[in-house]
Amino acid sequence: MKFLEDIILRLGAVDRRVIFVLIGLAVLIPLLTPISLPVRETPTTVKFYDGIDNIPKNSKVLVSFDYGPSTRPEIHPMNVGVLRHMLRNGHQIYISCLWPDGIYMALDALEEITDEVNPDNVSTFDIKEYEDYILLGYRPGAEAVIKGLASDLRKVYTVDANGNFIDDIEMMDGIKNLNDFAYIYSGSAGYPGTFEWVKYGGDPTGVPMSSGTTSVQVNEVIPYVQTGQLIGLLAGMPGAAEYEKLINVPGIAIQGMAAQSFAHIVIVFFIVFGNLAFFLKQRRDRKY
Amino acid sequence: MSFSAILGAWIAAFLTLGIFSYLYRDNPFYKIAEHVFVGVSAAYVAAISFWTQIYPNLFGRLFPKDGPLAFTGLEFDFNHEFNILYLFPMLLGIMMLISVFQQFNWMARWGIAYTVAIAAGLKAFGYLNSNVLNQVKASSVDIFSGSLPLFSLNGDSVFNNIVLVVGTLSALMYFYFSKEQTGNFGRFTRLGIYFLMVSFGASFGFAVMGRISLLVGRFNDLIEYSSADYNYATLGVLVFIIVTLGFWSFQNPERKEN
Amino acid sequence: MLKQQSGWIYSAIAIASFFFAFIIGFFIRGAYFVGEDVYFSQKAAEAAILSSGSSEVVVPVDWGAHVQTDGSLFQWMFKYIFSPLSATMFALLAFFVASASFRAFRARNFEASLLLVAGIIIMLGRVPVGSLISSWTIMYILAFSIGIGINTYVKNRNMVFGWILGSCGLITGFGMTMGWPIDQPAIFFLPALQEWIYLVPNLAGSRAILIGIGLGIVATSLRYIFGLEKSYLGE
Repeated sequence: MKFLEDIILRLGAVDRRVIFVLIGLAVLIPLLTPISLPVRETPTTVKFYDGIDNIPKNSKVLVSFDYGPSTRPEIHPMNVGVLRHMLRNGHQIYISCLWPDGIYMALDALEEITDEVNPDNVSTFDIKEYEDYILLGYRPGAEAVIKGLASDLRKVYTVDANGNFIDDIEMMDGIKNLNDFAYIYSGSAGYPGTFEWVKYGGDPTGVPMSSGTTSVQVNEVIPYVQTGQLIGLLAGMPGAAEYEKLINVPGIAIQGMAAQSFAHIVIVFFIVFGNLAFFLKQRRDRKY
Repeated sequence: MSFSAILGAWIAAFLTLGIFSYLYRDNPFYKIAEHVFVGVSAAYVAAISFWTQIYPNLFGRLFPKDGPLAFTGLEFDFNHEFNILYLFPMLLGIMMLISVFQQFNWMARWGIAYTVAIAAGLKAFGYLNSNVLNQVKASSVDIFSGSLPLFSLNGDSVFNNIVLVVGTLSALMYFYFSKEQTGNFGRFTRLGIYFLMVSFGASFGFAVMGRISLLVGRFNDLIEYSSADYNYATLGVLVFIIVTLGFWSFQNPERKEN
Repeated sequence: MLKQQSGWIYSAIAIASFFFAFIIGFFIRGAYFVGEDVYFSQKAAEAAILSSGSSEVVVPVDWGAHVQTDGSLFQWMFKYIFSPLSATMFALLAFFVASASFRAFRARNFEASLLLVAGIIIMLGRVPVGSLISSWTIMYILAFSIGIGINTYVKNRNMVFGWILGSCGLITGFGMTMGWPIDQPAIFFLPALQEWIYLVPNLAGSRAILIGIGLGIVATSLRYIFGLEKSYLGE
């Protein structure tokens, strides 16, 4: 018994680089040798899916890319999924960005799904700029931008991301402000993002909205879901994986779930182990 | 694969692994990557903000095509009408820039005061409406509303409603410092602390989850760059960094920290 | 001397990369269209037309749109320099979070234990692996943990022995009669338990924080508006 305690105590003082290596391996190995684990949808994700699915067909929807490369692994799969889902239902998508990098994220997402083959293996997406989607681009100003969109979109955007006049674009006919959209979605990584969209976009105009957020942000946003200010929520990469499963297009998030799981197990193991060592040490210190 | 993509992959792999090399210890590779990051991101944000806001929305309104200021030779056609009011934001902006000189320090205050006032006005309304009123409304539920089951783990139930209301109230009371938290009131706020702790625990769990997801994303990119398409960029850079770091740490042995 | 010099080099790197990005952002269009294709420079675009012999003309991208165009030089810089750097800076934290949770998270008292347990349940319950852990395993672990608790605080061997034997017997008995379903009883099944923690007690705590912050911000905003608070001016 004492021998065992010694080992635990010795391991409890392990160099932190050992932990780094173990975490690295726990993530790397499942990525190199893919393991498929069953993804289980959580109620908030299902609510999110239903929310988007219930938008009347062929509506105009606003999708905001409010993240950058730093949180791309979490939000990007969500936004790609949301674009797929919305385009499938024939919606016209208006893309805005509150983050400067958002525009590149949007370009990447669109590139990924343009001409992509649908799950039925026959049809393709075949989406066209100015018919199915329009890139409004980035405007600095955070909540002021949203406030501006809520009152008059054309004051904030007079040209789109390609430099074309908004007034000349047919797809923009009849769009004056946020009230002309059937739905607002924000893929958000922090400020500005979900919070600002709820406060200055969704709540004042009453346009239904939902959001996908980074894991770190989930806990701050969750009260909005229960009140209905947000229709469901995608929570971090696991949320993205659940959504990929629901829209039936497995992607990068589902692939990442094995790595995510193993890393969590390693960390939980370390927490439990650290506590065990802590208690043993405490008990010994008390004895001597 | 085009040359620019392959070159890009090598640079990206170098910068990524350079930052990860910090896990071993602080070293020149990390320092290089860090300083490149500082330099590039400053210019990057400046460029994006200028071209997407100042150029179309400020210059476009002060110097529109055939506008009254067209004689200056500056014309930016963004379909705007000339609007003299936009001189003020330009002025405030210039004042902010000038304030880097010590004697013009005060100049920044006007701009800051203006922005802070706008933000305060926006926030006072937004937070009151979305964070306070809507949340209070959502908490005032009919706990015993007829058809609810007494207990159901996931889904609406009388039990969950009670936990929600008691939890919100007690945790909120914990933030109420105008009354000493002793006696029955103290016991109630103590319950509030427990709810807050569960909330912090969940936040901690989610924070771990988020960081791991980002790591998954980075490794995915590195794996992509290690393919033959990119001339094995990741592997090449990895070997280079490890070998160089090996030599370097041989010459700069780590001082025992304590 | 050596130290000073090495510091100087890094500052030079920072300044050089600033000008590198500044020039790409402000002085180079970096996107010339030939039909659908994009080239970084006018020359490359013209060379492409010559070699293909097509009748297309080179169309340079508009200023302003050049920072938002797919295939531009600015986007190249974003994709291969800015993006990996900012993403890796964040990803690096994964390692430090892991090492911190090993060193710092200790169940010193009831509150800290609550935090830890909630964190662990969320961590395991929200990822696929959580749904592979049977609720019965959790019950056995729980029974043993309580046994250890009794051993530590009550120090009565008979009681510990009785508890372990009794609880494990009970769990096994129920398991055999129910046929060991993986997700029953739900309160010991991690995904279901995590969902309850997430949407009930956690929501209550989060909402209290949200309301608290809301009231705080409203009050501060009003102070700003009425000029009671001038710290932002450096006064």
